[in-house]
Amino acid sequence: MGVRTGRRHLSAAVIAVAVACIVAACSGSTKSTGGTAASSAPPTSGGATTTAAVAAVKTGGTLRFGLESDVSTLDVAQGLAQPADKAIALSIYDPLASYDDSGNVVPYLASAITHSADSKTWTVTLRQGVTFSDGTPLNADAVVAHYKRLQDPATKSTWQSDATKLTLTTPDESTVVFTLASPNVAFNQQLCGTEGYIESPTAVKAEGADYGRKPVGTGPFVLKEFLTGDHVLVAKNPSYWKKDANGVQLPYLDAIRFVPIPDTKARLSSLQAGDVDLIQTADSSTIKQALGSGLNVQKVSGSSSTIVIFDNKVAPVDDVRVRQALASATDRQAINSIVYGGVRQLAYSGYATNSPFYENVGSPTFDLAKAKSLLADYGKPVDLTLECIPTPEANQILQLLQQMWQAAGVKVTLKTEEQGQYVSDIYGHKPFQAACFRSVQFVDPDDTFSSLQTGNTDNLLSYSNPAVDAAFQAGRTATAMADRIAAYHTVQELVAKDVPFFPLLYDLYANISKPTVHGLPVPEADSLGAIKTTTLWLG
Amino acid sequence: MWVARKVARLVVVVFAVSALTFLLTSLLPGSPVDDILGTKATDPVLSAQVRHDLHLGDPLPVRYVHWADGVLHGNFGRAYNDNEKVTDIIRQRLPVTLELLVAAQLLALAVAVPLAMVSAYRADSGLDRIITATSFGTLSIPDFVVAIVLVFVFAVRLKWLPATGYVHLSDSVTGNLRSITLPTIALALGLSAVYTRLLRADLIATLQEEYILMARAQGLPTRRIMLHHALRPSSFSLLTVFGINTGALIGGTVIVEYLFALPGMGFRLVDAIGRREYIIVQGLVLVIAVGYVLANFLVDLLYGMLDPRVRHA
Repeated sequence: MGVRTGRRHLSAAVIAVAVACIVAACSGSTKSTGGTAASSAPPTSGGATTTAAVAAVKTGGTLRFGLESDVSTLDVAQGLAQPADKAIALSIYDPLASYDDSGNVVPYLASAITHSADSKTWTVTLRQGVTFSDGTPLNADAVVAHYKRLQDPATKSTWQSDATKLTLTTPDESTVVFTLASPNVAFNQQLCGTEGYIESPTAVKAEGADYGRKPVGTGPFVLKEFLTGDHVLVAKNPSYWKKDANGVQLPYLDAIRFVPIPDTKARLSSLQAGDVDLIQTADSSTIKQALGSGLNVQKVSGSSSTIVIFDNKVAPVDDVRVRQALASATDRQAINSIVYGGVRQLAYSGYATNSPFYENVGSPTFDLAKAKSLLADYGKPVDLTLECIPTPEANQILQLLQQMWQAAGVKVTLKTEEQGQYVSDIYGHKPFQAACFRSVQFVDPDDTFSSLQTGNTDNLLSYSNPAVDAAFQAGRTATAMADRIAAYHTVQELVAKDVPFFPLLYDLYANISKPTVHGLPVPEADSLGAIKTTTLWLG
Repeated sequence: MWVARKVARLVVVVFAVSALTFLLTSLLPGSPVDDILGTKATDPVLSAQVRHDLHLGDPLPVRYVHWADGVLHGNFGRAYNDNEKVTDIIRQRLPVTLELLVAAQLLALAVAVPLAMVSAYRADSGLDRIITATSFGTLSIPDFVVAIVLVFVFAVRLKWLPATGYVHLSDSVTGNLRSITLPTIALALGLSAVYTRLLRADLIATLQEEYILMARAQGLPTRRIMLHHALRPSSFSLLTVFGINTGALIGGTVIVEYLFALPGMGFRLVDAIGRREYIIVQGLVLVIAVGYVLANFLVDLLYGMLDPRVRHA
């Protein structure tokens, strides 16, 4: 009898551990507001290191790719926001536009993209002779069908609200004209993400609700097997439209076998044991372990980061001195060393450091004396509650922040709330004081306007500064790059002074591979480290 | 008659378990709407749509009847976000779980039965003490620790076996066996320790019986006494726990599935609870409940075979 009870306790403990892991993984994808987070033109950020193909390319072979989570759908309408979804989607689909190595938007599935002087009308000309892998031609009708599908409420697409702002017309078979609800000089960046991946209208019609399990695109690979939790096998698309610079037909590989390995340590073990050739990870300790172990590590960070947000209308954080003091009392390097093994990059801006819009504007750095003097100036005792979700990582950060802020003389009470409820409360504008959050990757700084705009429902910070609103407006309407940079420079300066929120550390993603894997491209701007697989080869 | 009673009980248990699961998932904190919509949960139009789609406005009994009606017609429903069919999940994952379960149970028995017999026959000997101490030791090591050590030694260092992944039997028989070897050992180690200790205790009691003394006096060989006279009447506790473990393992191999990236039922179930995919939780729990009841039903049948008095009681 005693034995039976023992096992029951054990399995309960085990489930608790597993649930914690899943919630931790989920928190990575939490769509959130990042204040001014934005990675813009450059495809990635924070120093992506790429293995350059030095030797002559070898074609053929099957690459085994360890993914960080299970994939249950490959329907572009569902956002495909996880690094694992993205990795497979980039093999099956092509985006209308993409980034070149210097981070400029260039046509990809399109052959030309132009816009009117007021940047409200965009004309996309499609590549000639491209077909989906089921034989359906890629033409203007297919692109329109894609956007119609995103707009249709029945699709339940994550892109629905974005797509409904677009009106599409087709002057001829290979031209699509987008008319925007409001001018946007950076609209071409929206064609680079999942929103701009075009699926076969024939397959959508034939498969209906099962389309997510039987996706068809124009991409370098074609889906062969899809067993959730087990593997996804894609094989070379023999009639792919792209060739490399030497005229060799792409892709180089014959096939890619994607396998989900949810446990981050097991994923590295599998790479070391030779079960897989390439893995993706967002776990800092895995990255640290892999560095200097003979494996190739491609580190990627973007604009997304862990941030502290304030409810700017609630005392005591309605006073700018208190917010500045809390930011000054925060030692980011200590959090980096203790929670992340020192591998992450400290964040002082919501922008990626290699974004053309990024500028060091003198955000508060760690200065305990300054924090104390700001609080002395404020003159009243500061007592506040800091909230987050109950994952081990978040708990560690909460406790460190509590210690750091208490060192400056602030009394801090910690509170955790289950993720779904937490997100719902904050998005429901339930008053809070301070909370931790994760900002997402943004393709353009304009995407963060709504989260800082006076009175906007997306403004979870209840922040209001007419000068910030005006600068964002200027950035939105400016057509010259220099004017846009100037506008977002103003935004960053004002935000650094007001501290409506402050970032802690940039998220870090990595692709870790065996030395036999070559041709890793620079990851896409908003892909959380996921890469195009066209140029990968084994040798 | 006896079988009919058991079948009637099976139906009642399955009904009770599925109704209870329905009730429990509705009592979980937070709303599935929050998890499905995430940051858009505050949009009244979208959340009303999800509520309508999930029938959240209906009273609980109505929702239960609606679901149960579907199940009786072979329709377990689909996951809300990605349209994955619950029947597909069961069809793909149950065989993996069952294979792991059968392999682990067989390995555990193969280790436990001989060890328990040696141990019981020479109770309190040096060998018995070693076996008892070892099984105590393995009992106290959680299976995930065993799993991590096994992976490090046999996959990362020696590279004899894969660290993760599952190869289907239809793809490759040796590949399949290689892929389940480490997870099977990780699961079987703890089970075999339990079985060894149970069987040893019961065997020691049986060996005190007079008919064993009689058999010994007749000069029957030890092997024959142990196998034919002592083992059968001593295996009741073992059988009971074996049956319970069989049921428990259908959904209870979560951590081993997670660590070895095996596409089994347990991990998907925990994942579904985390994401509040209630329709999946209900479908999988139903399968586990049926498995539990069937396993114990088989154990009851085996009791009857081991000891005819059970059938006539």
